[in-house]
Amino acid sequence: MEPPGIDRQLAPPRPATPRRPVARPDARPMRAILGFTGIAAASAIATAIVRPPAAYLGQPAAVIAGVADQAAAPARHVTRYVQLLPGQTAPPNAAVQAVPQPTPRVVIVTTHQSGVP
Amino acid sequence: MSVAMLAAPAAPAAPAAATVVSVTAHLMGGRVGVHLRPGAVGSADAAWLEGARVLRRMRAWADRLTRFSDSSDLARLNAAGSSSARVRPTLAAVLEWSRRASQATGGIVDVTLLDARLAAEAGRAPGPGGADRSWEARPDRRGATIARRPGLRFDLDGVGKGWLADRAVALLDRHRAALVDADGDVAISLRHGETWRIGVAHPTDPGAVLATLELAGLAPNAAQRFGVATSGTSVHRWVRPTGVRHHLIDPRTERSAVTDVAQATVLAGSAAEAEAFAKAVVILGSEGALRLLDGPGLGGTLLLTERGEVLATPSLTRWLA
Repeated sequence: MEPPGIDRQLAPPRPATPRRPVARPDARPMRAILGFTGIAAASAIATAIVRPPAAYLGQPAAVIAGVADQAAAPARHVTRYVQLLPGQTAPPNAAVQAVPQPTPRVVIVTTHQSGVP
Repeated sequence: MSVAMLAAPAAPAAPAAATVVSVTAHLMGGRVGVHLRPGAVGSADAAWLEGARVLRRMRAWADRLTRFSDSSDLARLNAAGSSSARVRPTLAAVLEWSRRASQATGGIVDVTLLDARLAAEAGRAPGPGGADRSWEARPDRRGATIARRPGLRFDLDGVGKGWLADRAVALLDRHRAALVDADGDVAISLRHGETWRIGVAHPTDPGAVLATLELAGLAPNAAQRFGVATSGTSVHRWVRPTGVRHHLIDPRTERSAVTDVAQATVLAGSAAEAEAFAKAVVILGSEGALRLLDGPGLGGTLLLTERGEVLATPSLTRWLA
C-alpha cells in the first residue's frame, strides 16, 4: 500500500519497437586462428613423439630444445633424460646418472677331470 | 611433456668393467690359469702382471709337490728309506689337509695309494693289500716330521691341485672377481654382486658342457669363496689285457673303483674340499655317496652316470644358469 499523500505515477507504456540485434565480433577469424593453432600444436606434438630423440640420431641434445621452441605454448617440452651413446657427452649442467654395468655372462672356465689334453 | 629415457653415464665407465685378464700356463700336467676381473682398482696391465706373479708362485709350490720330479719335496719323502722324514712347510700343509680330507670322506680320500695307482696304470696285478698305510705328521715351526713305515709312498695328485688353487686365489682377494683354475679344480673369489659362470665339461664330448654354474658373491662386506672341482674315470683310463682300469683307487680294495659314476662335479667353499668330495663321490658311487652329499659345506653335486644320466642334487639347482 502506498503511504497517504503520495500519488504513484506510472510511466506510460512504451510503444513496441523491434529489438535491435546486439553487435558482436565475427567469430570466424578467431575460429580459424584457433584451428590453425591447434593444428600446429598437434603437429608439433606428433613430431616430438614420432621423431627419435636427437641422441638417437647422433645429434646433440640441443636439437630437442629446438623442437620445443617451435611448438606452441601448450606443447612445451622438458627434456629430463637423454640416453647418451658411447662417446657422447652430457649437456652443460645436466644431471647424469650412471647405469650399472652388467656383469659379463661369459663362460671362460670349465671344470673338468684333470689331465684333459 | 617429458622425453622419458634411461640415463646413461656420460662420465667414462669404470675402467675395464667387463674385462677379464687371463694368464695361463702348462703346469702340474695340465693347464693352469689365473683369471681376474680387476675393476677400478687397477689397470688390466697391472692385473696381468699380478696374475703372472701368482702363476710363478703356483709353479714354485707345484715343484715341491709333484711326484714327477726327483728333486721335489714329495719325491724326496717317497725316496726316504727311514721311518721318519722331515718335510718343508708347503708339503706339510698339503699333507695336513689330506688328513682332514680323509676324515671328512670316511677314509675314501687317501694319499698313500701311489703303488696301487701305478699298478692299475701298468695293468699289473695289485699287491697283496693289507699293508700298513698309516702315517703321522708332527708339525713344527719349520714344517713337519712324517712318520710312516719305510716304503710307504704318497701321491698328492688332485689333493695338491685343489690346495694350490685355494692358496693362489687367496692372494687375489682384493680384486672384484678372481678365479684360479688348477687343471679343472677351480677356486673363485667374488665380491658382492660379482658373478662368474663355470661350465662343467662333458668328459667325452670336447667343447660340450653338461651344465653351467653361475656363482654370485653374496657376502656384503667380504670376498666370497667358492670351489668347484670335477673327478671321474674317463680321462686317466687304461684298457689292459686284465681289464679296464682308471686312476681313482678305492682304498677299501686298493683297486680301481667299481662305480656307476663316470664323473662328479662338486661345488663347495674351497677347491680343496670340492676336489676331495668329487673324488669320494666317484669312488663311492651314486648310492654310496648320498650320506656324503648331505654333509655340511657342500653347495651341490652334479653327476654323470655310466648310463649317461646327468643328476644334480637339489642344493645345486640354485646355482645352475
